Amino acid sequence: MDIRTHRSLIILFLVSLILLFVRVGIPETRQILSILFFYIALSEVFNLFTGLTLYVCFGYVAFVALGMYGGGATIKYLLSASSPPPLAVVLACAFAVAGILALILALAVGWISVRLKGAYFAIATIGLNEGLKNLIEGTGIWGGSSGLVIANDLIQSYNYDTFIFVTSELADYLIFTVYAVTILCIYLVIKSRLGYGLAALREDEEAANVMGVNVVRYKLIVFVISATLAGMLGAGKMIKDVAIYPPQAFAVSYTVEAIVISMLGGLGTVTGPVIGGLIYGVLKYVLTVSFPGLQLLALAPALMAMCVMFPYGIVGWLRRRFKGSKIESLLI
Amino acid sequence: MVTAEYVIFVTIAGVMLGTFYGLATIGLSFTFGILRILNSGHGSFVMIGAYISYWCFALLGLPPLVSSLLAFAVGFFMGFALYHGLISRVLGGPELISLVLMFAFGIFLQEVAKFSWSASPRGFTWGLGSINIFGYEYPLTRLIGGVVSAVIVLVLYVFLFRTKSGNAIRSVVEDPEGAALCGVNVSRVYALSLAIALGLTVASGALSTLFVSGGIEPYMGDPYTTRAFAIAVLGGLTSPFGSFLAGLLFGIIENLSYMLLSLANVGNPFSMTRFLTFAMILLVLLIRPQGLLKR
Repeated sequence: MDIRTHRSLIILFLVSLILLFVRVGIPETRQILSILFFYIALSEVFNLFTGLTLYVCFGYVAFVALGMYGGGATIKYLLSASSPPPLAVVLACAFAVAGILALILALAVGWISVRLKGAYFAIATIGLNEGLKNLIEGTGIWGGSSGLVIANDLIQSYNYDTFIFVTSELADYLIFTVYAVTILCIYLVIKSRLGYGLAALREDEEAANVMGVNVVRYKLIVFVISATLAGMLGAGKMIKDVAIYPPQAFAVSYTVEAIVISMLGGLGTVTGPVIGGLIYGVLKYVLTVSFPGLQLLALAPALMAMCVMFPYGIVGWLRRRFKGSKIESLLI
Repeated sequence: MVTAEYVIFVTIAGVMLGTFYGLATIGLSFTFGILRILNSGHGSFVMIGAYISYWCFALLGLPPLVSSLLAFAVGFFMGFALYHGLISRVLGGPELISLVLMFAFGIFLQEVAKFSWSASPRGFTWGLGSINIFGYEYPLTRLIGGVVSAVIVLVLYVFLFRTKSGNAIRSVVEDPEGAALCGVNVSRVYALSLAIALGLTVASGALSTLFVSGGIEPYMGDPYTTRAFAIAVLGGLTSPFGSFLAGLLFGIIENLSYMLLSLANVGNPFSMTRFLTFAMILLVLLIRPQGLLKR
């Protein structure tokens, strides 16, 4: 295997590793870099489905929230035993359960919705977020509308220092791991038969179908992969936040942010969300400090302007600008 | 104890709610049927209407019946502005762009409402008393809301089938290119249709205060979005009058299912009804993606 064929991916991983080392080495960057890791991971996961298919799922945050609930409930259940299992086992189970729950939900919703085209898909999934939230509040599972808190369970089962380490250090590295895995997934998908089929689907779904691309199966595969990773990202966020309440967990702002970052960087690209996430993360950090609570008021017009004037994002623009040169081949 | 009278009462209440739901959904299928754009920020326009109704009542003492006319005018103007400012630039492009654009516009309206009028819920009561149906009290305002909704839909029907502009709109639905060849200004029809659709949606928001007197807040529109999507899908998405009938059906289903859920005592019936709305969208799309009311 020639390593040069994958050099764009290697460069991206090196940049990410540098960010990680900065995070480990300089404690002052902790706050902003953990925001960055989360948002880049969120939009990479979102991009894996929406970028590659150009189908938008407005209820996407439901998978992250389900992962948070699944992970949190698993941790609470395992720690309620008289002798709690080792931390690593607990966290691994939390991630596994979060991923599996998101996978099941994605299969159930996706099995119906990916058969539909364009706007019909959006209709089928826009209520996903609201629906799951109302199911949890209505039936009262997982604490219902009063939320699920695992901080005390962690402190009592281990000790306070471990709790601080897990929530402020380990959680960031876990989120970073989800981010790295997602990048690898998108890259592999793009370079595979699946990726070429999806490229054909983006150009013309009917034609791709006629030419033998099983569009329904292809859409379902990326939908499920993306949702599973979103669930695992949720587990990471749960370990970081140690609490979840329905109004915040199902906040529409996550969906908006994922769309903004993906479109700013470039839909359907691997590098796009990283570039978009870096810009957005820094902007958000500055905005939340100077104008708390007004970020969506600023984000929504920015997103509208992007739709009208700049639909291909930064990476899309750079690709056109440097068409045919070496730079284009680096911008995956 | 459930008596036959109670079931009839709940059904009548469902019919009134249903005509209102029909009106609140017509704008959505009108836009999708004509411009092929899905208004993913639909609920926010309902919310704007509810605020117009609230402020007209609180500041000027105008009842929702009068303020719904003002709401229509506001929505109509917004439709024109939105078409010429944003929509005309993304028509014919990838579907994703118009979906995200309308979604972002909906969020923008919510945030403007929150910024201007705070997130705390408001409400007002236009006390007209109630009438007696089989021994159950039914607020008169809801009866008025249902009847007025039906009248507005009738006016729309007359406009579409009896006027020149209405014929132009229907010809564009049939075949945009053919209509253009016959001298119809398609761009003008698009702008007019979006204006009418948003006008109706904002007006329905003003009328929504006749059914629910409180809870006017920036995010009140989200359940309306889900509901309108469920209704529009039931009615086949592209047909405005199909949506109206589906709305009628949906109002009855919602009221009856609320009654059954309260009786069965499974969780909070309010949240469960909303969850069932989402489940219903998926079910209808699975069984009859072309809509229940289409052949």
